[in-house]
Order: sequence, then C-alpha cells, then structure tokens
Amino acid sequence: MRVSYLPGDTNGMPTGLDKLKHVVVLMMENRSFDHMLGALMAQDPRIDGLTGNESNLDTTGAPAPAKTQAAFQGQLDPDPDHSFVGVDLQIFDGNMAPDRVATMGGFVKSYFAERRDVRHSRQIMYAFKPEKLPVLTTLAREFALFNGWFASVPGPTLCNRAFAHYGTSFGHVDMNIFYPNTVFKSIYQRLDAANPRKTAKIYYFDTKSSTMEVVNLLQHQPQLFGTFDQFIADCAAGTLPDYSFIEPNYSDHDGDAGMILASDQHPDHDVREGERFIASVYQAIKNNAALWESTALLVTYDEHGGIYDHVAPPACIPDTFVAQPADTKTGKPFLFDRLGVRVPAILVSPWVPKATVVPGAGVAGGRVFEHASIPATVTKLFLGDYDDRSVREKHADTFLDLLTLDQMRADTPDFDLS
Amino acid sequence: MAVIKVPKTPKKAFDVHRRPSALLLGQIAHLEWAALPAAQRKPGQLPRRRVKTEGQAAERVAQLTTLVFAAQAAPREPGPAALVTLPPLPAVPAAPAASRGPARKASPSPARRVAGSRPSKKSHPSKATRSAKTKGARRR
Repeated sequence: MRVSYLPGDTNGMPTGLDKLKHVVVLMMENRSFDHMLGALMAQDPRIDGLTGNESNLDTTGAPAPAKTQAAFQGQLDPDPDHSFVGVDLQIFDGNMAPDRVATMGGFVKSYFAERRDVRHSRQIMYAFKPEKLPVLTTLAREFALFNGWFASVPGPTLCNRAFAHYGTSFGHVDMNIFYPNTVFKSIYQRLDAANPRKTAKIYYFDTKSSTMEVVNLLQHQPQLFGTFDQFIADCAAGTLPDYSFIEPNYSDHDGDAGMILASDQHPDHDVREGERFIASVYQAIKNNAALWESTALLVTYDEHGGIYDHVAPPACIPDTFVAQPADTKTGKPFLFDRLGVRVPAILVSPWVPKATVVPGAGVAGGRVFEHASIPATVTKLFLGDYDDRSVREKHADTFLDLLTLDQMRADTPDFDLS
Repeated sequence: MAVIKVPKTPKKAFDVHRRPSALLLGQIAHLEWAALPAAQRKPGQLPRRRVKTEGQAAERVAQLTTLVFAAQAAPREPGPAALVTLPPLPAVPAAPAASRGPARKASPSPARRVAGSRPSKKSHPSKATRSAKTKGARRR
C-alpha cells in the first residue's frame, strides 16, 4: 500500500533501497506515542497527537486532562501497570462486555491502583513539551514519523520484544520468556542460516545490562551478540552487520569510568539519558559517510508502559497462538487479534523526505505497523520470500518503501553530545 | 544544518538503590534459568532470591551473563551435564557520593514534590496489595 501524502512521493521504486545495505533497530522502553510526541501536533496537524481536549476520569469522577507537564524523572514512580490485565483496563476502562469498545479511558484509574493517590494518578496523562526532547522530536520532524505504530501485544515488555525478534510471542502475554519450544526462527537465526549467509547482531549495552533476549539467543547463539562499544566500533570501521538490533542500558550501575545511567527510558529512569543514547546511535551511523548512505535506522519503543495514548489499538489478524484466561487474568482467552497501545516509531535515513508523516489507522491511505513489521521488513529486504513465519508477521506491513528520494539529503541534523 | 546540543543528564538522576523493576527481576530469573543445564530447569523454581536494588540487579545480571557465555564457550562433554550451582547474590553496591542520602534530601524528586509527603510504608494502603500482586506475577 502506498502512502498518499508523503512529500516527494513519486509512486516509483524507492531509490534509497538500491543503496540500502544495513538496517538498525533501536528499541527503547515503555513510553507511549502521546507521552513522547503527542504535543508535536501543535506544530504539524498531520501528526496524530494531542489536541488538548483529551482526558480520562480519575477515581473521584473528575476529568484528568492530558497536559504537557511530563517530567524527565519522578512522576512515574511506582512503575505504571502494563501487565495484560492492566492494559485491558486502560484500553476498555473496565468494560468486559463482549461488544465492548476501546475508549482509552482507564489509564488514570489503572495508575491510581499503584499508589492510591488521586493527584499522583493524574500524571499518567502527562506528555512532554517538544523542546524537552530535542533528539526524539528532531528525528520525528526531520525523517519519517509513524502515526500508527503499535505494540504487538497489549501487555508488558518481553512478549512485545519477542514480536520484534520472532514475529510472535508464541502465545505469551506476560514476562514469561521461557520459549523452549519456539516453532519459528528468530530473524537473527534466519539471516545466519541464509545462503548466502547474512549477518545479524544484537548489541546490548554492557555485561551489567545484558540482553532481554535471553533464552534462545544468549544460550544457543552467543556469536549473535555484541556490546554497545562494539556497535560504535563497527560503525566507525564500516563493519556493521546487515541487521543490527540495539538494546539500551537497562539499569543505573557502576562502570570502569564511574556512574553509568540507565538509558532505556523505562520509568523511573531519567528520559534525558535515553535522548543522549538515541543521539549516540544516530551519530555513530552518520559519522561514517558510507554507512549513513546505506543504512536505515528505526527508533521505536517496546510498549507504552501504562502511559496514556488516545488512539484505540486496532484489531489485527489473529495469531495462531492463544493465551489462556489463567495467563491473561481477564477471565478470557486472548487470540492476539488486537494490537497493543501506540508507541513512538521513527524511520531515519537520508533517503527519507524531510517531515514525512505516515498516516495511521482510520485514515484514508493509513497504514498500521507493529513490532512484527521489524522481522517482516528485514526478511523481505535480505531474504525475500520466506514462508516459515507466524501469521502475524506474514501480514505485517513493511516500511522500507518510505525511502523514496532520488537524491540523498544533505540537510540532515547533527547532535552535539559533548 | 544546525547542530543540536543535547543536554547532559544530571548526576542526581543516578540511583543504584532504586527498587529493581519487574523487568530487571524477570531478566535475572531468565538468566538464572539459562545458566542451568536443561536437567536442572524447573519452571516456577526461579527466582530463588530477590535482589533488593537496581545496582545489585546489574551486578547479578553481569554475573549470570558471564556464566552463560562461559558455559557456551566450554567444550561439550559426552553424557549428562554436570550439576551447576548458581553463584550467591552479589553484595548491594555502595552508592557514589552524588546519589547518597543528604544530597537527595536536599533535592527531593519531582514526584515527592508533586505528591507531597507520603504515608509511611507500614501505613500505605496500597503497598501490601501491590507487593502481593507483584509477587504473584514474578513467581511465574
């Protein structure tokens, strides 16, 4: 499906694809689209963000409006609920009827349960002013911003990250990643087994942060892993694999040179350190001219972390797996026939027209993406036809057609991290 | 194109004594699982012991990641795998001066400023509920 209002859209074959040799995905933690980027709608009405009229009711029945008062740290402690049952409350506001409609009205009630403090619970509606996030908002305004990129599962981190690696969570809606019986190969295993062989790596930050993709890859394919220092070195040396997946630092910890701050942006880690991490990934690619010309970088978030977004997650084709009521804790099974809450997603490449906004669900020409779009895109680019994949991945939209320019841009930004 | 200055994160954001998130606890549980030979893996048995702080969680993650990689690098012997005993939890690391008590008292977190004084842990009505709920979720 072609996007109707991309600047520079020629309806021809994307020129940038001819140059493309590398795909890099950076997956951050637990922030919703509206929370991070919703306020950008005031600058560009094509962005499906916050109008200023969005609100939830708090537990006293008073409206809690979405305000641009998000702080870098301190407002989201304790961690908002983002278990399957918690997200169900956030989306459906407690309505369990068979014909229920997603209202996105239960976020404040859900957060109230964490601390029983009405005033505090209203902060779940807060969004960042664009100037507080110079890196993410610059990338969003300079490259391609997706209005309709959703978490794959209305649930927590690990099942959503599984979709980015495998195109499915094998029926899991929780933090259980014990996948001893995976029936589909991860994208890394597919590339590694290809003929001719393709290269892939998961770069985790350091040994003290390690990876969230533990069982199958860390245990069976340690050669597929590297550290962030190695990523920086590989970028400089021009030895980046065909496909790279980057994990941020998941914890504050001590390193050889002193304090190392968590950069994942998971509440209640300081969002500014994540900004710096995103910029460092971008600059590592951009500082090597040959790499910059031949690389597409996707920056996205694994799930919304319990934080407000106004767009109801759309229905999707069911996966062949079913999560049982004991796992969903809603009293109902889940057929993986609805996506999770919307998250930020930005495609960065010098072949992407400036200020591209990819329309989302419910709009003419709109497109819906989810984390299964990642292995779907990488497979399409490097392997072509590949049948042994999940239903969800086979039906996931791919995104490299957004590299539409005939000439590489020379006006792309730089970040100063000194 | 203009160069965009990215502000540094203040050192006071650093807190190794923060409660570890469910994400870190889950990661540790799965690393502990991965560090054991297949014959020793029993669903539901982990995590055996809880780390108490984010700094301790990071040390445990490093400990286990090193163990898993070492096991992968070791030559495979025929026959049943030798029993593996997981190392004890690392000590809770001391916080650097920048994140120690007095500085934090002088500069309370935005959450505390916004929410005002919180009830003590003993009297907080949601603590017990949340703790029980979290324990149930983490046991799986």
